[in-house]
Amino acid sequence: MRPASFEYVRPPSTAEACRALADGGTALAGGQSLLPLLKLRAVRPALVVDLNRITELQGIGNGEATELAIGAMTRHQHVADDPVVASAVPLLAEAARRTGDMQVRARGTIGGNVCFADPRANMSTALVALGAVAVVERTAGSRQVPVAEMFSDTRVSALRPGELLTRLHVPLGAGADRGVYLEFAPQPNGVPIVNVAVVPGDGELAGPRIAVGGLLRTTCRATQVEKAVRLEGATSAAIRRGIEGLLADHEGYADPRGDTAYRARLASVLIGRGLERAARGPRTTEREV
Amino acid sequence: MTVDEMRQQPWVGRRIPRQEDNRLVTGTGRFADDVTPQGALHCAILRSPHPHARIVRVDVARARSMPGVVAAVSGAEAREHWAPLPPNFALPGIVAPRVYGLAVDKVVYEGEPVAAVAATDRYLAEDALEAIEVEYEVLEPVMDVDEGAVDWYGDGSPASPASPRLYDEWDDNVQVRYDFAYGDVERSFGEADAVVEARVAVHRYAAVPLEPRAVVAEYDPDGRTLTVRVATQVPHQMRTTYARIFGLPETSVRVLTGDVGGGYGSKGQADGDVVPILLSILTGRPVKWAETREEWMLAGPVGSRGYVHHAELALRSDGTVLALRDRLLADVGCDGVVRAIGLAALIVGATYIPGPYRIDAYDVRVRGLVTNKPAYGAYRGYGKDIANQLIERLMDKAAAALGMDPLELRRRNLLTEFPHEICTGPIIESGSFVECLDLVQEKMDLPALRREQERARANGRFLGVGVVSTMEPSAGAIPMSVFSGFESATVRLHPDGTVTALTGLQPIGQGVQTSYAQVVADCVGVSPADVRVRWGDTDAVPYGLGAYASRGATFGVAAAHQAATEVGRKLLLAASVALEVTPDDLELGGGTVRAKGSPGTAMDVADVAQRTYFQPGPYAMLPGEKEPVLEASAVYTNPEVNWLPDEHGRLRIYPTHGSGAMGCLVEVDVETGGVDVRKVWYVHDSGRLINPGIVENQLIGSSVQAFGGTMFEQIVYDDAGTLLTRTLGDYQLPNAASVPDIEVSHIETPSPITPLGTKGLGEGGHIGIGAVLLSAVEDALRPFGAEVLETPLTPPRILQLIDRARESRARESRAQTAGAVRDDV
Amino acid sequence: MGGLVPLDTEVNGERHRREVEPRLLLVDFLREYLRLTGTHSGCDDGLCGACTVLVDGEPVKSCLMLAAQVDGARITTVEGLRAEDGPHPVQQAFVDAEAVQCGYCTPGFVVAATALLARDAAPTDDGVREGLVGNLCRCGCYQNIRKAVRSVGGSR
Ligand SMILES: Cc1cc2nc3c(=O)[nH]c(=O)nc-3n(C[C@H](O)[C@H](O)[C@H](O)COP(=O)(O)OP(=O)(O)OC[C@H]3O[C@@H](n4cnc5c(N)ncnc54)[C@H](O)[C@@H]3O)c2cc1C
Ligand code: FES
Ligand code: FES
Repeated sequence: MRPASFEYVRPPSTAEACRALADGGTALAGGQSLLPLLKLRAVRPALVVDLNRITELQGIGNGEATELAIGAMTRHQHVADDPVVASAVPLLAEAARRTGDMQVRARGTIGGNVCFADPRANMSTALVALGAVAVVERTAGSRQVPVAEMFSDTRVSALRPGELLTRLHVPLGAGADRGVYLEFAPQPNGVPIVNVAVVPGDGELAGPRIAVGGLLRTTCRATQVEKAVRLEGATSAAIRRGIEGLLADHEGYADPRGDTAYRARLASVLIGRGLERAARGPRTTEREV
Repeated sequence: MTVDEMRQQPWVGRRIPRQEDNRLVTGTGRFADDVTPQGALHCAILRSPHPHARIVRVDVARARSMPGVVAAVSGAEAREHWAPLPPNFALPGIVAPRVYGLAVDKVVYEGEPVAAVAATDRYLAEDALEAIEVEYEVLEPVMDVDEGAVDWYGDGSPASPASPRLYDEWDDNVQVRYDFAYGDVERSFGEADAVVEARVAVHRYAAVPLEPRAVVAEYDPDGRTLTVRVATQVPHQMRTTYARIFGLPETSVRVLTGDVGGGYGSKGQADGDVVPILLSILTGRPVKWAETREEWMLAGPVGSRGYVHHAELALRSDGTVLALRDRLLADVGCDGVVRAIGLAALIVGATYIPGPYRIDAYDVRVRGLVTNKPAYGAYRGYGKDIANQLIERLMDKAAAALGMDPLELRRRNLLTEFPHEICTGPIIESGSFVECLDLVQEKMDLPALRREQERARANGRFLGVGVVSTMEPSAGAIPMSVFSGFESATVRLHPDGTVTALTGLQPIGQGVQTSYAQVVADCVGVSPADVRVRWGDTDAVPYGLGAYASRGATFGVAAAHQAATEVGRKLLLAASVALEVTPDDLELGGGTVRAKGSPGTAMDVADVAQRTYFQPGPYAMLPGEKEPVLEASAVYTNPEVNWLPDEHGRLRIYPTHGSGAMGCLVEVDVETGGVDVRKVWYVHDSGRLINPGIVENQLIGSSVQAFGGTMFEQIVYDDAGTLLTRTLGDYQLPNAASVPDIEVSHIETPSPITPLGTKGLGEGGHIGIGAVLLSAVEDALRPFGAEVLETPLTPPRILQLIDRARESRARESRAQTAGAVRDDV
Repeated sequence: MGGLVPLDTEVNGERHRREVEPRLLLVDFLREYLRLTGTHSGCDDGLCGACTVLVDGEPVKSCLMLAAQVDGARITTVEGLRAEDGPHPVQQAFVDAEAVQCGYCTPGFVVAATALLARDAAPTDDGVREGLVGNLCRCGCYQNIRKAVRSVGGSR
């Protein structure tokens, strides 16, 4: 439980960080997921690139009224406490507030949460439902990737070698301010068994956007559920059918806290509750789901 | 009360702040890992990745040449330098494997130590582990016990016929066989109006103290002396054990403990801890080992629980219990005798299954089978929970079968007269089981809870209430074991009036320093602040046995009390010389000795002490006394312990027994399967209390642990024998948000067999919580008709229970309809 | 092998300048190099909170941080909370509320509680429950720990 040796750099800018990553470095953000793996020697980077001194990666801005830009190195606690987030995308604040504990939130970052690609990650689920887009840079340029496409497999992100996640763009409007984040965990801390985020549709035609974590091997947009709900209404039968559809197309996730069948049931229940809350109105922040 | 009167009040019984806390809150406590001697090396242990394998070859040569490495050793090389780990007890019916601190030719669990290194720092030590080459021949692991294939009657059918054996020299995989019968069980079952049956099963969970194992070993090659600072509950037995393993005279071995970060039974043996000692002996340098959490989860005394009862209870229609039969089967991991000490818990469990009830016909058979999992450790409860879990579930079932109120059924059978010898041999010396039950019912306001439950059900919410009785045997004294039955103390009143109390007991969080000071203070008339309790240095304190089996308030306190009483007697004698008043007319308290009724005639305790030692000294102050100094040593044994089997083969190893009752309120979310434990009520009687604050912490703490164990803590392996729960995140210890409020109430029925009327305590919550949670969840699910007889009560299990109950209802109603149709025809 | 990196940090008001291996964990730096053994290690995985320290006032699990990362930072450990004339109010509250058993978790709780109270001077009972989920007490002192923290915060 002590890391193997590595070189360590602490670049002051995105550009330099990208260069170090291009040299084969591994990004260190809040370290709340990377450090345990380093200690287990399950990850053995030759070079660790500490992002914590890059101020341009930190902070939340909404220069444009249509979207919120969140720096990859913004800490969970910052997201949880930010007044703009609280009013524009309260589900993201709730997802952040329920991430781990006070100490984890003081270090862990929204970018790290996405890049770690754990299928149960709070921020990822919220961001997927919000239709957020990741801005990814490397020495040779940058690309934009919808967060929903950031995950290749359990704990495998879609980042290519040398790429740095710099920002997350969260579109506002379209019900974003009425979204709901719900999770169910063995105890109220740490990683949930299943989490869901629901953003109600804006207007008659658009149905809700739904994301689920902990059901499949990656966090996902539950398009089958969205479709079933749009066609049949938010009945539990429709939701369950949608979940079955998801599981027919993708491999389910399982661990000692719950097999896939249990997760499917839990996801149905949480989505049902999420839709109900979203319909009932904003700002329900009940502790127990 | 005036300040002066306050000072005269006895200290025993008072809720005073703990002396240990000032250092613990400021970070100046001293835990084993806090000490790093000059030039210390750091030990790292290479562990088997396979649960069952033969070791073909271990090569440490490359590791030896790594930077910073001073020693590297394989099991085969180590073998020359030490003896096998000694069994911790040798009871009939139990077999002990022959194993070393590092495996030699076979590993029987994932995580078993196979080689070790000592290096100048911990990082380098771990680097070196990667350079050790081991070749294994992987064997099929035995990961489960087959309930269907157990040889209960000794007719030779092997315990689990298909499974490979763990130990080549054993006939089968059975580590313990224990059978006991009393009374005419067959006839009682024949005469019964009702018989209820239950299969009650509890999964594997463990002590998981927050402080992992830690050892600092210092071998001095010149003097051939060994000093070991270690996180242990039993320092003296560790000295004896280390001396044996390393072939040293006990006089050359010194064991030190300071603060110990929780034990709960788990720190009572030498296992991996001997590896750093060996490395210190081999290198002649201090060697430190502070294990990681993952190592604890892999290779600590992680087994505990993991048992299943198949039982039947026979009753008359009026609720009188006639007889009980149980078959108790446990998965004891690779061993519960040598590498860990959990095995005897099964026998304790079997002994106390009749619990606080009058049961005169009883037949029990116990089998503990080894599997390729880590060792079976002791953990708070130590079998008393195994007993309670069964008898209380049977009581609820019987009440349902007879259509009786479950508390009424209990009252009808609870013991009310004391002393009472129960059928398995122990004497329940005093108790208040019915009173506890009555009081818990009152505290809970059961009728109000029932109304709340009704209202909730009408709104589609599912509340449940459970109530159980508990019995808390304490102060276990096990023959033929290192957990023998005495305790020692020395009390010394110094010339300045301060007191040193030496105890063989070991503090592990239970407030020994404060509560023993309270006891001693009363006997010598000073304040607890003037008493310094010392422990955990085998060169400084008398040979004692440490902390296990809730023995402190019985054995430890009684020894300290006995020694302090003797000092008090001599103190009064000396004062009587100085004051010219007969000792009978003197009283002690508030730092003074006074003549009763004439407060003017008084002296400070310090004054008397000074005179006794020096001015003029013992010949004048204590003339004729055999030991004319203000010091005494005592060894306490309890008269109720009996190690000679009676005509039924019965022993009495637990002398004191607490009474209790527990209630709880839960709410079940029948969609997610989540259970919210909203409140726990605990009425407890362990005789006279020394410090109620300390007692309450013990009661609440033990409840919190079993709450976690019953609800969500779990140790899980996959079919190949790989541990899946390697971190605390996987395992889930209860946290601040999940733990319910626990309201404690006391009844104080003094024990007639201890000097202060105290009884041991500390495991009580752990004994009752499992059964009361199962009972409450079953109550919540009553509309579905689900039976709740198995742990953990994780959300998936709750949903499964509801599903099964629904299915069986559906089946029943289909059958009924089919029957009705046939009737029509 | 990684080269050494410079580390210049202030711990409990005292400045330390060292060269350390990049892989050195903050918890080991505090315990083994500075001998500040009040910071404990209970899980190695960020789950128990026994290793909690303040880094520039923020509560951090020192088992999940590299020592190199606190270069330029101010650290407070449980030893540093103590005032000249006695224990910190949170420390005293733990004693008064009987919130300690074995004491292994206590330093981490005390530091975390201090950080919690800095965020919210008078937390509710639920606020304390949620605020302290990052710290585990195996002895099960939560009830009294909550009482201790709220007694400092003033109950609401
Ligand atoms: C006790 C505990 C409880 C937790 N509970 C929860 C919970 O309930 N819900 C939850 O969602 N999470 C939980 N987490 C995880 C936490 O949210 C982490 O903060 C997060 O998963 C990782 O973020 P980080 O900033 O710490 O990233 P790091 O650990 O530093 O990095 C994680 C991975 O992402 C890569 N990476 C990080 N940032 C970038 C970037 N900008 N560009 C490219 N790659 C990058 C790293 O190289 C690494 O591979 C918990 C963690 C702990 C220790
Ligand atoms: S040791 Fe750091 S959180 Fe447990
Ligand atoms: S007091 Fe022992 S772990 Fe908290």
